[in-house]
Amino acid sequence: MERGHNRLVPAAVMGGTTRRIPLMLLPPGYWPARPGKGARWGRVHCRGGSARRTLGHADWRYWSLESLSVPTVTCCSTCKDALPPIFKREAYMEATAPGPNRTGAALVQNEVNLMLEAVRDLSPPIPISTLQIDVERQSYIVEADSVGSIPPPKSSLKRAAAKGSAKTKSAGANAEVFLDKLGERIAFERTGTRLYDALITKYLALHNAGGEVLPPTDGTGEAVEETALQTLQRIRAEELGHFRMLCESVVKLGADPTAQTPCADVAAAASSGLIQVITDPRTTLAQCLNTILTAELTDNAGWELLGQLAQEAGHNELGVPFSQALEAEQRHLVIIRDWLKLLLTTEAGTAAV
Amino acid sequence: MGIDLLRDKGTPVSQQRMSWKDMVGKPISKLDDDAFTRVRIILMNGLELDSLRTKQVALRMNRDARVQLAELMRVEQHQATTINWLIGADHSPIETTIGYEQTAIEVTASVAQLEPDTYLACGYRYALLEDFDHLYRYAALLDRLEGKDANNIIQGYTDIVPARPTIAHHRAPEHDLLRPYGSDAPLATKLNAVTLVGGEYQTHDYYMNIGPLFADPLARQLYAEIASVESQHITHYGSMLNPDESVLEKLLVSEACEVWNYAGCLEQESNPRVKAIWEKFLDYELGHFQVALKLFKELERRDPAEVLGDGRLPPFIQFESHRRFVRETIARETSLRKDGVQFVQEDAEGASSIAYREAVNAAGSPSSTVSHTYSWMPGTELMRSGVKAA
Repeated sequence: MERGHNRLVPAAVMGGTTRRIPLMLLPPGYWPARPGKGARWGRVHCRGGSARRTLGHADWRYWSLESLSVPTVTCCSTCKDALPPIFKREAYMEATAPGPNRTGAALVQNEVNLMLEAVRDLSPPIPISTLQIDVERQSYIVEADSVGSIPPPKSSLKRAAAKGSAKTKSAGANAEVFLDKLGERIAFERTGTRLYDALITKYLALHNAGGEVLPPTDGTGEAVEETALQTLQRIRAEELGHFRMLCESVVKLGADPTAQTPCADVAAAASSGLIQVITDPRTTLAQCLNTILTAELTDNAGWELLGQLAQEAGHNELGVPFSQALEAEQRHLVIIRDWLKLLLTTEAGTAAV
Repeated sequence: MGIDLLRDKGTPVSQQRMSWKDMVGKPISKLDDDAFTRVRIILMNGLELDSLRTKQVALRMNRDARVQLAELMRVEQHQATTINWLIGADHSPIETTIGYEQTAIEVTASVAQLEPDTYLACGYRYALLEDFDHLYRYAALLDRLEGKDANNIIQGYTDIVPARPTIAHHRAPEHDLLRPYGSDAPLATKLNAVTLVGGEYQTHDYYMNIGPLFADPLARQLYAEIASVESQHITHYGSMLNPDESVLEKLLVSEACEVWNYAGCLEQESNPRVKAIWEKFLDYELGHFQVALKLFKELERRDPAEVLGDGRLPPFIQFESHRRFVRETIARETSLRKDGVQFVQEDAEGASSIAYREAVNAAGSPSSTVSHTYSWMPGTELMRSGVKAA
């Protein structure tokens, strides 16, 4: 058996308490006896021989926490009989399944009744009014500074903004808004690339554990040669391509693509939860696809709007690349939606859902 | 448990090593783990951080113990990391806050019942009613800002109602002080006070760190207000500690406090994985205690029994709902106020506190505003029948 590539987890049963110990943390000398490929159960043998010292049963308690680099236990002849570890195969990733969820009130109805009794005594319900909160918040809104400023363009846009006529002022303002939204899309596509990096990692973890749950698709319903992994990698590459195309467009407009515009900053705040979900090791592939769906929906709407703003601002040269980006994002959306629907309808109870 | 502080050696400090991966293990489940597992995690993180704080002060005040203190602090740092990183990323900052207040309430209620000194017990009950009120205010914020039910975190163990209103917690500094315990105080009294100081310190520091992360001005205000009260609580509990104790005496009590609390957590933990951590760290702390004991004997040339008595641990904090005790305390002592180190009735409160309160509440009370007309209801106040839907 190759260390580090198995998924057997021994459970040392002691005094009625089960403690799981990852096999890779077992000290040298302890390996499952011929568990075989796909075996569900095995027994541990103490092969002895290289024992540094003999320890009592109590030392087993620490196996779950000590790494192999601290070889505190190498042999315990008494444990083999008195403390037989059991090997149980566990899924690499855990499926979302019914379990001991403790959050609901119905589970603890007696306690909740006592809580409601306290409410009746000490804060009896009266008509809800959040007027004070609203007034306070509005006072802050009225007095607030902006998140920040739009970085000033270096060339033509700046000159347009600086001219005196009402019409030109309006054009300048529109140009600044356009730059701000360009900055937003740059930030979104850059973060989107990282979101797909994280999604690919999540997919590979499931795939390497033997789960192939995403069918090939290109969003058109036609047969495709691409594997799901290749599709994910392609989408990631397209997000990166959009980011670079936007950067070049901003440079051509005389502005700085590395600056963080106000809309870029706000969009990043809005999408921070997406990163949290996809990078959480506990979330399933379906939960991650659901999250990336939010990003793709936003991205689609964002490209639609940006195309219109480019047209309004008279940047016809951006029409083609922006349309192509929108079409790509529309395909992404269909693929993600298809995969999510498939997982939820056909893979319930598996590690992917 | 039968632990004897003067005899049990624990794990030698030289063998206390953890990798980054050991420290960053699997977090608990917000949904599935018992609320008291989170309570114990929050409490023990607070104690580890206070243990670090105590040693940092000792480092500045004792030339001979510098190396040993540095060695202990390295392990304490990694223990604190291991424990604090057990909180899952799906806890929003307000949800974690709800966990902090539940910890303050249930731990303080237990300590108040364990405390043999009647004056200090009153001090615990006094601040208990304030942390209890904070839970109500934060529950209102969680409901009205994030649309979440605080009972998803509380799990029915703790009531969500007002007690002494937060608007009345703001006292002039001289009225935050208590009379300290004496040098002849039983070990239980010392451990109780150190535990609560550590808990409040952590809560204060957490609120100070996350308060500015909120966009909502009401949330920023509420965290500013309650962080200020938690700072008062640090003074309140910190002033219970005997100021005449030497630095190494404080180190000894701090280590005993960690042993006592880890043993209590180990005895009552329901999550096997977390229980194994308590077990391991209990042995670590027994090892730390041996270092402190040696320093105390060699540098101070004093008998540890002066500080520790017979070395046996007092009864543990009970990690369970203290609903009945809290309700009785609310009924009896909500109207208490402070005048210097005395607990007095509302009409005898120190005048300087009233003047201070008028100043800080001059432009409104965040805790009152955020909870105006709030009554807890399972599933949030939007479940109330009077709330109109389209």
